[in-house]
Amino acid sequence: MIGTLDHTTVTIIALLVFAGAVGKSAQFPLHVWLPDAMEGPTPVSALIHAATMVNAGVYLIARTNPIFAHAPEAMVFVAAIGIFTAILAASIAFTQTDIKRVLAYSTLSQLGYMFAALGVGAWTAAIFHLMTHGFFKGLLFLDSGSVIHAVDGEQDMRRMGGLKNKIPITYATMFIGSVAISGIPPLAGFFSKDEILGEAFKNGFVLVWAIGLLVAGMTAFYMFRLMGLTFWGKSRVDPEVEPHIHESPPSMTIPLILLAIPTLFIGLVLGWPLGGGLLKTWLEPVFQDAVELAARPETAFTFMGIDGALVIASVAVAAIGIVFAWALFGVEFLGIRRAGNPDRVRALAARVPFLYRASLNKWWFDELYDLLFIRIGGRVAASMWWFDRAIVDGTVNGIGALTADAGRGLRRVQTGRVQNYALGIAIGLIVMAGGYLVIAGR
Amino acid sequence: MSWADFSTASPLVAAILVACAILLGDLVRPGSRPVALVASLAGLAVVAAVTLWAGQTTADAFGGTYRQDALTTFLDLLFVAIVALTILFAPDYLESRDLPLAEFAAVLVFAMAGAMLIAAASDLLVLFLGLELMVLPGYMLAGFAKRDALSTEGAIKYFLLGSFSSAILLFGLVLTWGLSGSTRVDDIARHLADIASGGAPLSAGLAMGLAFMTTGVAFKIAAVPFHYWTPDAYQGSPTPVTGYLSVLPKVGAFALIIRLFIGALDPLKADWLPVIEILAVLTMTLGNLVALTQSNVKRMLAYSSIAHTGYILMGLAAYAAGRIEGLEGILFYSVAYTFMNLGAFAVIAALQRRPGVTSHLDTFAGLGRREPLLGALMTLFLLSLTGIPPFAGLFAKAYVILGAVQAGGTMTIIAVIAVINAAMAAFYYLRVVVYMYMREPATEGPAPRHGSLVWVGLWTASVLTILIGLFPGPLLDAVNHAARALP
Amino acid sequence: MDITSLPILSLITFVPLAGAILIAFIPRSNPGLVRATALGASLLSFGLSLLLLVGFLPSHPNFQFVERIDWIPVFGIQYKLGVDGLSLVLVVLTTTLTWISILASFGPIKERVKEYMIAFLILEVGMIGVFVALDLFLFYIFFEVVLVPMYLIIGIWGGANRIYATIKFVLYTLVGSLLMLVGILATAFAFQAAHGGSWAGAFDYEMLRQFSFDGTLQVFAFLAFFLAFAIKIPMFPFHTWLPDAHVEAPTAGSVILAGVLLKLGGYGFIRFAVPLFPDAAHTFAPAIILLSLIAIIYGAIVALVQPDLKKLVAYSSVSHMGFVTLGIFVFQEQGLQGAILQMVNHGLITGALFLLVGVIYERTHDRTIAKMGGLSSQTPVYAAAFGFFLFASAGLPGLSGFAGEFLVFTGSFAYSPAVAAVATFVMIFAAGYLLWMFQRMFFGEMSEFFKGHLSHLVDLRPVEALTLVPLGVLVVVFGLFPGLILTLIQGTVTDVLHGAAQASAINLAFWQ
Repeated sequence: MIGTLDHTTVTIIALLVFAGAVGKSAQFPLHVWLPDAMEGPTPVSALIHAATMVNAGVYLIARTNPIFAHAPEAMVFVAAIGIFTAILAASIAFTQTDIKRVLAYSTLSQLGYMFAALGVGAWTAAIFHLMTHGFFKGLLFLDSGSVIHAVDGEQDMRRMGGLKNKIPITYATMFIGSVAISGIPPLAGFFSKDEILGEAFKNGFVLVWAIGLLVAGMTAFYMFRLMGLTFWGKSRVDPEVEPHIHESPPSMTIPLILLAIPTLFIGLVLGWPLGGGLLKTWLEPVFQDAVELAARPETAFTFMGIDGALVIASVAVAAIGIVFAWALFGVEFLGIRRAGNPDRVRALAARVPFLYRASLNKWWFDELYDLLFIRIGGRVAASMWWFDRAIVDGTVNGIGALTADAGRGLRRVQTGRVQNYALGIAIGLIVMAGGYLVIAGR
Repeated sequence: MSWADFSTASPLVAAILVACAILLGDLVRPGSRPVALVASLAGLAVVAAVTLWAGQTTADAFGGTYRQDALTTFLDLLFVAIVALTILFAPDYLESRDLPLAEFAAVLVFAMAGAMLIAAASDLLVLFLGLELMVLPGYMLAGFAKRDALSTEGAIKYFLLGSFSSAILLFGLVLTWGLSGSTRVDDIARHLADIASGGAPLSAGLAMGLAFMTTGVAFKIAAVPFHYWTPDAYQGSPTPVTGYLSVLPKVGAFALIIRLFIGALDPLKADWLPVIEILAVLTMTLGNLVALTQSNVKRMLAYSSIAHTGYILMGLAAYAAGRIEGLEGILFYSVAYTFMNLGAFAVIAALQRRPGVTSHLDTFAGLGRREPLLGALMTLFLLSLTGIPPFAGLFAKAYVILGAVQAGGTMTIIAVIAVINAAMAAFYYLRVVVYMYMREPATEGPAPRHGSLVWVGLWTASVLTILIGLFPGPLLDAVNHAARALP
Repeated sequence: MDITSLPILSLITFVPLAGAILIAFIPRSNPGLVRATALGASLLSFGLSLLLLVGFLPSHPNFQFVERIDWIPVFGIQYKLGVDGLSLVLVVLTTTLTWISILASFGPIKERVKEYMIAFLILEVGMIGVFVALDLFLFYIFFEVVLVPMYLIIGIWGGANRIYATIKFVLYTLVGSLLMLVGILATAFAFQAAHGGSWAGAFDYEMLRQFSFDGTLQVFAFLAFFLAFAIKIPMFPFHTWLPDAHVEAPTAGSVILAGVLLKLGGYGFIRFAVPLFPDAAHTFAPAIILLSLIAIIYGAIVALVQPDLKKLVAYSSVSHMGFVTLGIFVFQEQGLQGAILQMVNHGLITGALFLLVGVIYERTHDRTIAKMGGLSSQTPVYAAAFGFFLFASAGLPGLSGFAGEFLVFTGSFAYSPAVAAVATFVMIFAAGYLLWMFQRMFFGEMSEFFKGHLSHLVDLRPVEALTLVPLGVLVVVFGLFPGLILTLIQGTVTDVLHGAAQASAINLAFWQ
């Protein structure tokens, strides 16, 4: 039935539906709410901002895929917005000092991946990433909550550090989560992220693939920056808080462990073998028509060919990111021990001052929106109210004042002197006579 | 002059006799209020009965100068009601200011007789006679509070200007007689019919005559721009007199207009239509506009009366434009207006018996609480004057508006002007309500007891105001009947 | 007991009057009895109106429970009452909101309770009368009767600037309705003239419906009616009386003003202006749609910057009622359905909002939002109730506001997608001003002002909750089952649109 509508209408419909998804899943340009929403309690963040509510937008596009299948231009737009959001958010995550903010921007970034996937026609990949992301992001958020709990409410990573041995369960699960999100096999994130990038490349969206690849590296970088600042190296915790650092109670750590399990395995369960897998079989009927309409050549997964190259590329990029992070922020893993190097970080930041400041200021979107909607919008609203009071109501009151003035003016005719009255009557009579004479003349 | 003449004119005769009886009663028992009251009220009842009896037939008397028809009866009854109510309202007020009642009543009844004569006139001279008989007592009554400078001033102005305008009217009547050859209304109408049908042109003389007559009556009804006497006279007069002045001379003057313009000058109505239209608009607008600025309640109601005159004139214009509903509207409005206005002034008179309450609006503050019943009645009359349902005022306005709408053309525009005026008027009517209920009381002290006569009068006026609003049927029938009495 | 044999409509209309007369005889020293009588009278009316619901047959094509007495035969004016789906729904809304308002007045009104209750009951008579009158003149009378009690309620028991507000309200409304009187008389006259001078049926709604008026009269009469109803609803730019009237009125006065009085205008359009003058309605529809859109957006934007809580809700009313006129004049089925639903919903929701505003005003005697903050910890139940009705007002699906708005959107989309787009856009602003208001009132740190009034800030009292619960239940029920109302009004909707469909716009060029 959708096929019977004309192309422009379908495209407009698709774009408007996507607009809804943009708001719900915090894509550019409606992304600014999500990091601020982190002010809420951490379990709330974990649930709705990481794992469930923001997925609604992705789900919406996936569910309405028949519409989008008929509007390829819209899909390109979706992919563009998605991948742009991904890199935008990732760039901001580089410099955030609040642990939850890093994760917030990470969420934005990963959601961007999902939309990019939808846009390039990798329907199943998007849903796959949605699922894996739910697990590991939820895990990461609860972990961050646990960390914050351990350091008595501190959320600034600059006042953390060296927590590895003090909160081991949290550390371990968070490490698992970070590895997963970085896309290192065989954890969940690898399978889903790789599928997205692979399909992007194969469906001809090379730019999307390239940016996506870059973002993968950036993701790995900022996640392990987080790990370095929070868990490794010397403790920068407030001396008063330091003695009280403790692991969270089981009510908090058990969920962490519970989430770590799927983080480890669900990729394998749903996504193996690569290019196929349980999820693909399951979701095939849903996206069948869309895939057919796209009419792209269906090729089998060949590890020894383009697919394998893409896999290796994405893993390599992630690895580079991790190593880079280690170099700057330190590491204590498997015997490798290295301290963080704040001087080097500062020097690096000094080399790219604009980028650094832009990242730190979230590319000034908050300020822009504040200016546009709060200040200018507020002025517009205030001036409309002024208009209502001064002009519209002013007219009403003005009519009243005018009437009263007319009354006052006319009142003065009544001078109280009978001579004036008599004169008035005489004049009236003369006018009357004149009037009648005119009438008579007609 | 035959017995039949007197029989036909029996209401008039009865009225005169009653007036004499009152005077006689006062001669026998000087200063006795009960005697005066009984004489006047009983006498008025008699007059009403006689009127109804005489109203069974239509007849001419005194050589065709007096006509008894449905219109006469209707108007006569109305006049009786006005005077009866005024006499009910007067004693309390007069007593508190130590003014005589018998003379008051007698003068009123004489004035009524004059009005009744107008209502029955079918001759120019009789018309004029009735007019003077009606207004001269009015001048007296306006100055009834002899020691009050304001009252005397108002009376003198009224008298001077009234005489001036009577002279103007007379001159117009003379011109008409001269140019048509007769003083009989029917003859004049016939002569003018020739002119109207194109047989002869409307001469300059006749035009002048029309001008003088219009000016004269316009003064009497207080139409703008001949209304100057009204605010001063109304404000200065004792309040019951103001009530009376706002009603009887006005309705009487409209009776004059009906007999003169709709009777004699009817064929020329296309000519005096535009003039009446302009007068109507000017009157209602100026009346309302200036009323807005008044802080004296009596003066405010004076201007409000002027405004109501404007609405009634709209009915007249509708008639001139060819709709008999216009005439019906005039009659209906007169009745409704009578009771509303008399009621309002009566309440003010009663309220003024409180120490501290003058006719200044400020002194009305909080009266709604201090005198709940009077406040409620005042609100009722004010709402009716505004034209808010379900009271008589609405129906009256609706009637004249209907006439205007039916007439169409310019009259529709005038109807719109009228309703805008009515809305405007709501402001000053409701302002009294504001002062009575929404401001803190200015006067303290014990409530004076109001005489039972006043209450009887007030209840009558209010009940009638409500009944006319809810069940206008009977009045409509009467009005219909009366309007069709004219040939 | 056969419902149809009782003059049930007259009963419902005049029971409050009987109550008012009873109260007049109760001594001033017994305000409790006064209150009880008033509540009793309004509940009785309410109960009777529920009987109406039971006895009403949605599939019946004409008016039901018709009562007819020849009142002024000379002019063919009748005392004629009757209901169809639309009037029924509005009558029940009126009776519901009246008893709730009277109950809500128990606490705040302590002075001159007798006069207040009398005024309120007479107000109810007028409101119900408007909705059931099938004679044009009778309709006019009830339409005007509503003015004076409201004038007194605002003027005597209102806020600091009440005199200005109430005079403005009366004069503004009076201009419109008096012009409507001229329109009514002109219409009746046209009918009479076309029927050989016989006035029979000249004011009878059902007979006038079947008559087709000529273009000039339609234009004139429609404009007259339009002005009266546009002022009442209120439409832009005739709306400026509303913020003042609402702010100055006592709480229950605002509830009934927003809940019912505004609907008189919408009802007038649907019942009279459109069906009687369909050609003129088509002619002016584009202009009216434009004004509606302006009202929708303008009301919402101005609501954003209001410092006074009540004024904010007042401007939101302007915005919401814009949907009603939009829905009516797109002449689409969903549009009209949505308009009627919106009328009911707005009555319930905004009525509740004013009750809620009244709660805080009772406690602190201040409505300035800037002084508020952090109330949710102190009065959680109040916060929850406020939030609930807030979301209803914003049009959250599942609550009644959504169905109405959505239908209007659908209807206006069928007329013009651009119009629908503009109208839909306002939901952003609605969420904006509502949520922002809520945040400023309830979230964050408790404000200094509130800290100073801590002892007064008690949570919802049982009486207050009792006034809100019925409204909340209805909001949920109609949110989940809007079909309940839609079935009732289907007859009206079909009827009105059928008449409108056969009309065509008048060429106004002949005016030149």
